[in-house]
Amino acid sequence: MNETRNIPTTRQAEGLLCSPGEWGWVLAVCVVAFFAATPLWRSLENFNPGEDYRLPYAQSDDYWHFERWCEAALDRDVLVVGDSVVWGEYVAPGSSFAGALGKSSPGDRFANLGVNGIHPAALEGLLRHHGSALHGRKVLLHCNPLWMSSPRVDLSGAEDDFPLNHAKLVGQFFTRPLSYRARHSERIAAVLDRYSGLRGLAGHIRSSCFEGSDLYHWSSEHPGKSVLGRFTFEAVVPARTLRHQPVSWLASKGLRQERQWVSVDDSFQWRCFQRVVELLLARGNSVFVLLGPYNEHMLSPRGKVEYGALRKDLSAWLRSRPIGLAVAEVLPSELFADASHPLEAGYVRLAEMLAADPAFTQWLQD
Amino acid sequence: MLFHTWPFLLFFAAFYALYLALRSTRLRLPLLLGASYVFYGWWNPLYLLLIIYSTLVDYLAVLGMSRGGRKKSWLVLSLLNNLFLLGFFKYGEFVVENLNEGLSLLGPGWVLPAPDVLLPVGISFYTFQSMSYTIDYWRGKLEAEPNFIRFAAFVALFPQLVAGPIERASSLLPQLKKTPRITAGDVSEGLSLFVVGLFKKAALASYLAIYVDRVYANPVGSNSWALLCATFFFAWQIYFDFSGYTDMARGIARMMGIRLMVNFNNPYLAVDLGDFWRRWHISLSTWFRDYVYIPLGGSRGGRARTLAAIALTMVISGLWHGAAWTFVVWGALHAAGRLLTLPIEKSAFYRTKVPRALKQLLVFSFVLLTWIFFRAESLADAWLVLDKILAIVPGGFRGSTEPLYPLLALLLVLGAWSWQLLCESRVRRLLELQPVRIAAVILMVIYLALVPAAGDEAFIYFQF
Repeated sequence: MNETRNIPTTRQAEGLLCSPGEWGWVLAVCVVAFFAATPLWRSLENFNPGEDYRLPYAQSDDYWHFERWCEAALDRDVLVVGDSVVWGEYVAPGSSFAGALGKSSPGDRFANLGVNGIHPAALEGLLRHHGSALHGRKVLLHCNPLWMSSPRVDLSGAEDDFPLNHAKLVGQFFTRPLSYRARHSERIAAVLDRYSGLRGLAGHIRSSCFEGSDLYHWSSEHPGKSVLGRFTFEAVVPARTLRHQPVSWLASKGLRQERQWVSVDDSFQWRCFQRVVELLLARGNSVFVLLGPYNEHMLSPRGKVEYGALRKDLSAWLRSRPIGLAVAEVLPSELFADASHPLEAGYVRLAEMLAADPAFTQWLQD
Repeated sequence: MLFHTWPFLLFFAAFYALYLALRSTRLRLPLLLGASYVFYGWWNPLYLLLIIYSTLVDYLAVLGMSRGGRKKSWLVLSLLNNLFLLGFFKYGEFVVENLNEGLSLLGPGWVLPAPDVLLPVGISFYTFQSMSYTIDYWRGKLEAEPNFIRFAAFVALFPQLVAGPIERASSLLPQLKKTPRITAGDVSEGLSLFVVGLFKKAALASYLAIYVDRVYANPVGSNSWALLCATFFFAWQIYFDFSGYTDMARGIARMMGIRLMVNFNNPYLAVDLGDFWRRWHISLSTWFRDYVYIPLGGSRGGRARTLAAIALTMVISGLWHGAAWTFVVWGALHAAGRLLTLPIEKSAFYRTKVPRALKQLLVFSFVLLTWIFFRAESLADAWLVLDKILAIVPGGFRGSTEPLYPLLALLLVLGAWSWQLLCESRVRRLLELQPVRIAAVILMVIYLALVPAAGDEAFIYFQF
């Protein structure tokens, strides 16, 4: 040890200090790069959604790509918005609700804008921050009562461990669900994501090039593969294979369930759904809501009564708004895969029901 | 609150606006102290009790010394208090565990209860910083600080509170006394330092950590090559992590008109082990030099005493890093390396005949092997890793190489190493050209915006 050596105080090992003027150059180039990144990527990435396109499952939280799909879907007559019931959890892309509607109402083209796991609180965020392209269009909005079937899924409970889908889309500070306990850094990042196209693009690159992982984790998991080779500039094509076997809940021995329905006055998700409707109306959308279906065959007699009362309350509010409304009939038990997802034949039945509904046909013609 | 997270950036933006507005008023120091306590209390408000207590004791100790009489008693009180805090919170569990190992030989039933306390973040840093104040005052090297708020701000100054650099009162207190003059150059250079530090942490250290953690979590299941790669990556991970933190700390302080000391100076380009310690964690090395090595006799007490002082200082330095035998062995290995290589380093042959690159490679290789003990979960794991790595030599690089390392990570490390090599060569002038610096910073900013996943992994040195 050298006792005479002084403590260094000024030398900069890396020598990368920039003056104010040089920072001006840095900022100018970065701003140009950041603004150019999104259009540049769009021009490079080949995205040709077919007639039965739906967001690939792995890109369910790629909201940048959802925005792009919204813009591409503007050539369709009706945009079908909702959760995995719209997306088609148990069916191939062409057999989803939008596909069935296209077949039963051949004069119109329907776009499947369903997003897996998008509960009303997240749907509000999705449409508010990533769905502005839908402005003024016809929107067929699905209302899934499943999200009110317990305080837990309604997000009005205060459980610590509830895995919240699409957490980035819900209110982060003032209107956040009680059970949402993310760290401050995550919540601030979620807010920034809504306003930064570049962060959205980075998320899109992660989901489309690196299987939803970030570059670091992906390259660590696939050390032998080329990183550059991942940049094919082809949008991910939705899988043709089914995520689940299309088996009726009866065949898969689903259990009857007691539900703790949350009333419309107490429901967090319902308030969010109401705000979704108001948002669409404020944006000049022509809105038609499909309430249900829900697999009432799974409910106990008491549960059926409670659900019936809830459905009545939901319908009452929806009827009070300047929107179209259809309350889905109870589908035959064997047409449900679980509590809320119909099988392919169930979608056909629903589409036929809507096609026979004068209010719906009138709405389509308007 | 971590420098590379959004809460800190928002906190700093709000603080900085106020700081600029109030920097020439009497509210500047209370603001600085308040912000530092908010920053520290963000982890756990209870930590504040400890830092305030520690600050108060050292402040009163120096005040007591300054009023004459019993100077040594005040110093001893301050040292004992700081060492007790450090010993209790950091080493309590380690001591009890080892005592229990010994007591178990006496038979069942001889068990001391382990202290169930949380290690306060940064305690090793701020106690050392505070201790240097009382020792320097006792040595007559500085004046007593009469203003408690200023002294408390010196101990808790948030940019360097939790992981250094360990500043000296003689350097920092005078800066806190005067109204800071903040130029546009301070802001831009502070920002540059921050971006470089952020890049080191978020783009490099976090990446390397993925592979290192995976391999070191399972040394039994990892082969020699993977363990060597992981150790190589860890050497760079800890450098990027810690020097990145320091760069960010220096950058933030610089924007506030405060200059903190350089803590790292391309340590993996060292040409001997002494040189390594003059480049690695400089603020700690110099602290140990001034407050341990020199009091132990330094180089003034003959060859044997000098070597003993070096060895003891190194072992204590190892223990400072953590309450585990792995850190003691790490320090002891550096001590042994230092003692064995000291005569070689001083020889004319080594200084003039051995190529610089070879010296750098030898020093790096030695440091690399010692990092095994620093990173391993236990001594048994460390020996296993060392044994497997050394088996490469007779076995060659044959056989499976799973888990494979990511090529990109290797390229990034080699890129950083090459940059440092060039920085210490004649090409440095080229790297300091305006277009090169601007291009490098632009690339870092764009890379940071696009590539690293959002994360808030803590810095490695926080645990110390």
